[in-house]
Parts: sequence; C-alpha cells; structure tokens
Amino acid sequence: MKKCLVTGMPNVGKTCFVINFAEYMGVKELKFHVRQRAGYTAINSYSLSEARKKLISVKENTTKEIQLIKLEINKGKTIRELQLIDSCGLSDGIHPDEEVRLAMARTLRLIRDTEFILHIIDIKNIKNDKKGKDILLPVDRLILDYASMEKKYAILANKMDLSFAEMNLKILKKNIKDIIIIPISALYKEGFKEVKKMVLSYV
Amino acid sequence: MSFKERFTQDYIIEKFTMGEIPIAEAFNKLFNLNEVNINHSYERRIYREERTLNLQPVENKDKNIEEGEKLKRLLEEMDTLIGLEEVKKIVKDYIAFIKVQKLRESYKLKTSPVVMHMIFKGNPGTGKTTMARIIGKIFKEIGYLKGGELIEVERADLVGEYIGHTAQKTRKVVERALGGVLFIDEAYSLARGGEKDFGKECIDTLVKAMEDYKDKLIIILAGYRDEMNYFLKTNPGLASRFAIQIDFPDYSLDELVQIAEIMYKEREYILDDKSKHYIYRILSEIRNKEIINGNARTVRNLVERSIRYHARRIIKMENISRKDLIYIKKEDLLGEEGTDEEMPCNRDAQCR
Repeated sequence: MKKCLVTGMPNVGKTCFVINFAEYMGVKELKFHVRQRAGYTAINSYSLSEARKKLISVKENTTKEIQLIKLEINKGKTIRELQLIDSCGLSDGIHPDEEVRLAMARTLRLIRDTEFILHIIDIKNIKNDKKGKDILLPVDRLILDYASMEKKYAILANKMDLSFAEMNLKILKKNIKDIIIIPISALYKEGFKEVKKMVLSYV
Repeated sequence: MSFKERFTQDYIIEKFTMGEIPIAEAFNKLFNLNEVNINHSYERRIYREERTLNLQPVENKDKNIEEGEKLKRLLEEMDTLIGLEEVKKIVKDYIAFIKVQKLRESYKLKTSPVVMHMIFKGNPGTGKTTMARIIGKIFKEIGYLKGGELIEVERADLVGEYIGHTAQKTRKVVERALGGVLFIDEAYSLARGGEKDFGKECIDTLVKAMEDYKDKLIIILAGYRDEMNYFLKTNPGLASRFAIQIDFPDYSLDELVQIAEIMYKEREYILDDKSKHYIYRILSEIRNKEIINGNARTVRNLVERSIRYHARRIIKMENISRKDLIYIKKEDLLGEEGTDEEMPCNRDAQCR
C-alpha cells in the first residue's frame, strides 16, 4: 500500500483537504485511523458532515494526532489502495506547548519516512517578490527544499477562492520552477481533478 | 539508511520535541547529517530517560486539565476569604508574573529571577497562616514550588541551647521545608534577646538559606505590625531581602459577621434573625474590649462555643425536628443562663 503525506504550516487547510478529497474520491463514511500516542491505532468513524464539524477549525494546530484515511482507487481494472495521512502543521520557531511540539516531531518523522508528499501552501502567505526576499515563509521553504530533492512532491496552493489568489499564484509559478503546482480550493473542492490525476500517476 | 543515521535523526527530533531547538535548525540538521555527531554516551542515556518520561502525553493531558482546574479552585478558595483585598491582588499579580516568566523562558528570552520571600504583618487572627497555606498550594500548582506544604515554626523550633546548636537546628528546619513554604510565626522574637542571644545566629542562617534556595523555598516571616517593623529596623539587610511586605489589616465589624456566617454555613447551621442581631452586639463588645483579639479566631471560637451550647439545649427537648437542628438561637450565643462567659479568644485557649 502506498502512503501519501499531507503537510504544511498550521491553518492552511490540511484536514479540510483530506476530508473533502476523500469525499471526492467516493468515500461515504470516513474511517480515521488515529495513531494514539500510547502505541495502538484507534478507528474513529465519522460521517462527512460530522467530520467537517469536529475536525476542522479556524484555530491553529487543531490536528494533533496523525490521522490516516484509506482510499480505494480504481486504476484500470485493478483496485489500488492509498493511505492519505493528515498531520500536524509545522510552525516556525519553538512552539511553547509541549503537546504540539510532540505532534510536530511526529510530522517530521513522517516527512522523513513517506515517499509521496503533498505540500499545502496557503496562497495568502505568498509575499511580493522583491529582490533578495523569499516569497515563501521559512517553514514552507524548508519543506520545499528538502522534499523536492528527495521525494515525489507536489505543491497544492490552497485558498484559491480568495480574491487576490490569482496574482499570488502568478508570483509563485514565476519563482518556483520544475515543481508541480496545483491550485486548489479545499473548501469548495476545486482543482481536485488535477490532484486525482497526480495521485493516480503515483499509485 | 544506516542505523547510525537513523538514530541521529531520532535524536534531533527528540531535541526538537524538548523545545531545545527551533524547527528551522531541526530541519537543517535532519537532512544535513554531516554537521551533527553525538559520541557522548551520557547524553544519549539522558535523552533515552527523558523520552521514557515524556512519552505518556495521554495521561499528561488529563493531568494538565486537572491542574488548571485545581488552580482555579484554589483561587476561588482564596476569593471566598473575607476582606484581604490587597493581599489577594498581590498574590494574583505574582501568579501572572511567574507565568509570564515561564513563557518567556520557553521562548528563550531573558528572565528576571523571582524571589518570593515575604513578610506578613498583622494582628493574630487576621488570616496570615490561612493565606500562607493557600499561597503554598497555588505556587505548587503554577510550578514554582515542588511540594507546596506549609511548615509552621516559631522561635523554639529554630533557636538552640548552646553556641553552634542554633545554626544546625535552623538548617534542619530549612531542609525540611525545601520545596514548600517555611512560615515563621512571631519572627520578631528572633531579635528580641539582644546582642548575645542565639536568635541572631538563626537570622544569619536564614539569610544564607534564602540566598541558597532562592527558587526552592518561600520563607514567610509573620508577626505583629509594630514588632515586625522594629525587627526589620534592627537588621537593615533583612528589609531589602524581603521584596514583598504585606499588611493584614484588622477586620471591620461587618467583615467579622460575614466570617461568622460563612463558618455557620460550612457547618450547616443557620442563624435566626434575633441571633444575627445579637452576634453584632457580641462582636462589637469584644472589639471594644480587646482590640488585638477582635479577629477571625475569636469569631471561630464564638461559633464553636455556640454550636456546643446549641447541642446542649437541643438534647433536652423531646421531639427534635430538622429545623431545631439547623437554627442557632440567641440563647446559644449567650452562654449559660444568659450570663456572658469570658471568651476563649487568645492563642493559648485555642491550643488547649
């Protein structure tokens, strides 16, 4: 079974993407395999609307456990399985809460161990490209530098429903070349077709 | 990936979890392995131990919630104490101060040292010991103290019989109190005996202990206002070492009655209207007679005595109803056959 890690900074819409993408792929009931820190895996099943209500919030670092969803994908005549892994967002500096740091450490381990990484970037975090200034936030830059070298990697530019998104996307595409950038809106399920194509090529 | 590489990476991730390195550094180190090398077996062992200690976050989470609630409950307990507004404010200020210092530490900012030794000035029965006990518990909850118990001592526990004995005795008491609060009642008596008194030796030992165990111990000196002021004057070094000096004012008559009502409520008794009126009269009389003794301890003795008399009155009745068991009447407060019995209000009476 192949694994796919969804990562990015806090509050960029990782969980929202995972839930809505699972729905797009035809999952009726979400079965989250939550890895408990005591060592075993518990299965929490939610209906889609329930999951949205419970797991997505505007606060930072809502997701603290690693959550897995198994997707079944028809490829030709065979059925392939893909594990979609939702992780805790990585924020800059040293987070004061130890629990969150522990969750982030688990994300770091996953980044190391997973072969396929979907990196979600909040389109409003893209800065103007002045000379000598990085358009990405430091954490995004770190993930990009590492993962684009070693892994199968794609950037999902989320929150494309915002008004200034198109402009920022242009800046992003101009500055980062040779990397797949897919504009999506996780909330309104836009751009999922391209993501599906990308995932299919990997499975 | 070789075993060694994997181990090094685990070590870096662990360091990040501990909050020792920021994420950027963790990233750089994780994926440029050449920079890091850990040959120190000792360090490795510590990291293992720390990991076993810290990998029970499920339990920790419950504990954290409980601790937050505990602190809330303690603050509520403090708020139910009548009066003492100034003291409460100071304690809350210091809680905020300590919390902010801890946060700053977690962001690797400079912190100023927190010295929490205090002086409580006030008459007996103004809530000094009660306050000290709650302070101990609160500072334990916010993580400043480890144990949080209160050890209450007086001159006799500290001062010895021959030269050199005092320092030993005092040190033992201090060691017993480490991680908690050392409450020295009637502290002014340590300076009373003049030049040759052993009390001076005790003070010197205490001053040294205060410097040595700055963050492990809270020393509280308590005593009457005038005597304490005199005591601080005789030792110029002392006043500057105790940053926090709190005055415990005498209770007003209204506050005393409120205290009495709370005490009855705690014991599930109720004053009827007549006896409420009467308790005002009794308390005002006591206050006029002896200013020093007109405080919370007097009220407690009055309350306990009235409950005793109430029992004596009730047991003689034939049909005892629930109402009879609850209501305190005027004659219970009066004492035997309406005569005013002398109030057992000083400290000795309480001990007996």
